[in-house]
Amino acid sequence: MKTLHPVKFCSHLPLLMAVMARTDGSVLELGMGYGSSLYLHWACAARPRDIVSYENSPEWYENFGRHFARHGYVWHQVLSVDDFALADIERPWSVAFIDSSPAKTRVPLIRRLADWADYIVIHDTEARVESEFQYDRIYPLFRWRYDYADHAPYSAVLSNRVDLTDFHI
Amino acid sequence: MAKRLEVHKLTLSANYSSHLAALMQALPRTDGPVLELGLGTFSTPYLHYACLLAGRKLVSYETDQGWFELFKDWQSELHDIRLVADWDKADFERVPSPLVNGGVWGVALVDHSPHERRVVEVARLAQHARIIVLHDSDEKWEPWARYSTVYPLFRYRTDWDGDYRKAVVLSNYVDLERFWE
Repeated sequence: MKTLHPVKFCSHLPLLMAVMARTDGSVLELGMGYGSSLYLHWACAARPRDIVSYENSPEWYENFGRHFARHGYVWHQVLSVDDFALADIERPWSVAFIDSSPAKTRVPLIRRLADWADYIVIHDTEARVESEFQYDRIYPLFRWRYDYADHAPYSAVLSNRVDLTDFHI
Repeated sequence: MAKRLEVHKLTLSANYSSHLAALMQALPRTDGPVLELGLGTFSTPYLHYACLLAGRKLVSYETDQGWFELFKDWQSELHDIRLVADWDKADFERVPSPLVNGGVWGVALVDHSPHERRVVEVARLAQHARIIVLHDSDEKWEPWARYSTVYPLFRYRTDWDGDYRKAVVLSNYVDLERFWE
């Protein structure tokens, strides 16, 4: 059984909350987790706004997909994919959150979403793990970027569609 | 077989997050400090960051040393996390900023253990919080939780029954008729 520390698996929450508060359109989540999925689920319920979550782990998919399906939460679509490369994500999104595993799946997903999502939130951006995630390869694709490093693991917001010059939390 | 995740010897379930729906409606409808009775895997991170972004004071009380240890590093100017020996020692009737917000809490989440103790704190808070979110209001727990005994203390009440674990929202200050809109 895996033991988690809530302080660590929720460090992306402030950025997610900030971009969710600035938008009202559809939300994409690539890679599910207790820190993000339940916040996004309930935040989207309030409006309501559509959210699509993709997950490649059968265990995580069963965990969340079964729960949401049982309660008939029609605004939240949970989709299972064997490979994130097969996820049908090329369409407009207000918010895209990328927290997929393994680490090497993230750069290709961010590249595909670069011109489709108003805000892209990415997790695990500290230099210590850069060799694993290789975010430096996709940073040049974006006009704007905001880094949040108050709590590790760090997070960032990327955009080609929204000027982040005044973005601050 | 779903992956089992554990925090503080508690196996996590999406069911435990159902009160977030009520909290997300309550916070934007109020100003002033926020009170959390009972730290939790889903409520504490949400309240911590929501209050941080809004510049609101959050005070969390807990009687369990293990839960306190999990979150104590989040102590900050805006988030006061207090370990108390028992709930009688939690002096939350003294609001942090008595000159702000009419001297009452903007929101109070009541989600502490033991379950049957919650009605005591709800009664104590009846005139000290604009909106109270009370978790686990399912009828099956009523024989010992006895939430129905405190409902008459409030002018307004609305129920959250959109999930397996239910919650109830209570207030003597805010008309809750359109709370879910």
